[in-house]
Amino acid sequence: MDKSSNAHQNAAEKAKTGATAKKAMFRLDNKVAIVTGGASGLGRAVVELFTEQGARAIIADINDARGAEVSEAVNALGGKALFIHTDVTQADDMRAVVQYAEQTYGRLDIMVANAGIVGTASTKILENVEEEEWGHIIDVNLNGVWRAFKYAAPAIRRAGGGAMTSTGSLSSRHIVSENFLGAYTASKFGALGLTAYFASELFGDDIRVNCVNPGGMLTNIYESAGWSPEQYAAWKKGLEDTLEQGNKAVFPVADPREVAMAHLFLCSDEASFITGQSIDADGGGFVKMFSAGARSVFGS
Amino acid sequence: MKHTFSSRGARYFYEDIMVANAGIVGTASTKTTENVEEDEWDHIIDVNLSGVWHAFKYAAPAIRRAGGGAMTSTGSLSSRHTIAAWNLGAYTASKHGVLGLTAYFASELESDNIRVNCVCPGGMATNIYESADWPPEQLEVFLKGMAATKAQGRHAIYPVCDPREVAMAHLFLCSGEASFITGQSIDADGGGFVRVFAAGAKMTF
Ligand SMILES: NC(=O)c1ccc[n+]([C@@H]2O[C@H](COP(=O)([O-])OP(=O)(O)OC[C@H]3O[C@@H](n4cnc5c(N)ncnc54)[C@H](O)[C@@H]3O)[C@@H](O)[C@H]2O)c1
Repeated sequence: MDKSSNAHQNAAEKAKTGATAKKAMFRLDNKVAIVTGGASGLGRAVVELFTEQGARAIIADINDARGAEVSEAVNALGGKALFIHTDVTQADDMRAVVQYAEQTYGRLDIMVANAGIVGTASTKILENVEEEEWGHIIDVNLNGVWRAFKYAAPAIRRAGGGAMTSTGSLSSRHIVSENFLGAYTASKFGALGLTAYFASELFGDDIRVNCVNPGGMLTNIYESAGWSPEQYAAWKKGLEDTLEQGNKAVFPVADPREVAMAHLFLCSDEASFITGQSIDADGGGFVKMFSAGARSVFGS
Repeated sequence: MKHTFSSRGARYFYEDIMVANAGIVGTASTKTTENVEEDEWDHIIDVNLSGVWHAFKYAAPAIRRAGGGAMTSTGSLSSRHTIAAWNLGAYTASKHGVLGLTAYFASELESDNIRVNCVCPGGMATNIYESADWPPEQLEVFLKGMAATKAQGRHAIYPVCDPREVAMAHLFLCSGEASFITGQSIDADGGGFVRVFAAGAKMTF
């Protein structure tokens, strides 16, 4: 938090002293963005980064306490963020938040469909996952991206074009069969395919649609697994230790801000010729982990 | 989140850079692959693939001495796809190779804080077809076609961009903003690959 507030102040100072005060100073000046799951983890980092870059951000999340905290933190630094309670499993909520953006700011330029969970489905093998556990993770991780894009596209079209991104995962393209990620993997493969397909339908409207696939990140996502406090604490400690090792770790863990940078790139005009693509931001972790496995199997 | 930025300092703080971008289509790209001559084959592989290896091989120690940095190569849509339209057999072999080489280099340089990524452009208006050694009339027709497509902007089936739009992907990957991205590739094709395929599907079905 400390450093990001500095970045914000630096940015604000540059804006004041800049000679070309009238010109766009930041990469997302005048842009209006909705970030689902923006109250925590990667979504929070996206909200912070986008507002530092001049965007007005709407945090669309179900966690009211964290949503309020993020918007206050951003606003305290001179950024513009608002929290709107939004459940991505509810079509009415998605429709309403898009409407809110247009009514309040007159436009919507960017949708970041980032809300995601591991859920209790990620505590057991696939054949033991219950119907409602399956239904819930698919509803948030896959259907939630569909709703976000479905309701945002007409508004972004009215604004004359823009960009949308989703948050996938390494599990969007790989089978990481360690942590009961079967339903999660199905949802994330689906989100990637959906994102690329959406891109093909929106070419003609100047709406670019891309996906960011994070590797390891220290966020609150495992709260959704419903683990015991001890299990959760052990998991968190493991991630913190790995984060400390930096990129020397076999599977490096990122500060979510490093991954948010890929969303920023893809949502900015710098990515004007990039649509229907995905970027893995994993610090090389997938290759390193596979190689570690290969060495252990075949001897180094 | 007390660790938030300490780790970023440890990871890829410095960004000193090699962009391995030189590439040709060569005379190899004027004939079917079985008719390509030995020296034509060698030349395109030498420039497009071995050239990237040389660039990375000699830059890596210097970037390591600088404390880390980033390298990028320029691939092509032909790095992952087979675009069977312009005698691109040798070119495709070289560009698939570039992508594999780039990703492999990344795995060897992670612990040195050197990130290595690839940018795969789609249509760009450049001078690359000069290397095909076509008769001037053919080159002129080709360049006119490119210019006409470029004029259609984003809505062309296979859009042609200003190289600056693709250079943006190199900039991103070589900057500190891509600190957690290594061994990856980004296609910058304006959606052209998917649209060309869709045009083929429409014709067929
Ligand atoms: N943490 C990782 O290692 C990791 C790795 C790969 C991908 N991801 C993906 O990153 C994205 C962000 O997750 P995170 O790691 O920041 O987790 P997080 O739990 O810190 O943040 C996710 C946010 O989504 C919100 N959310 C959950 N269900 C919602 C719903 N129905 N409607 C609206 N908001 C909802 C949560 O309240 C939370 O604020 C997810 O899509 C996740 O799958 C995370």
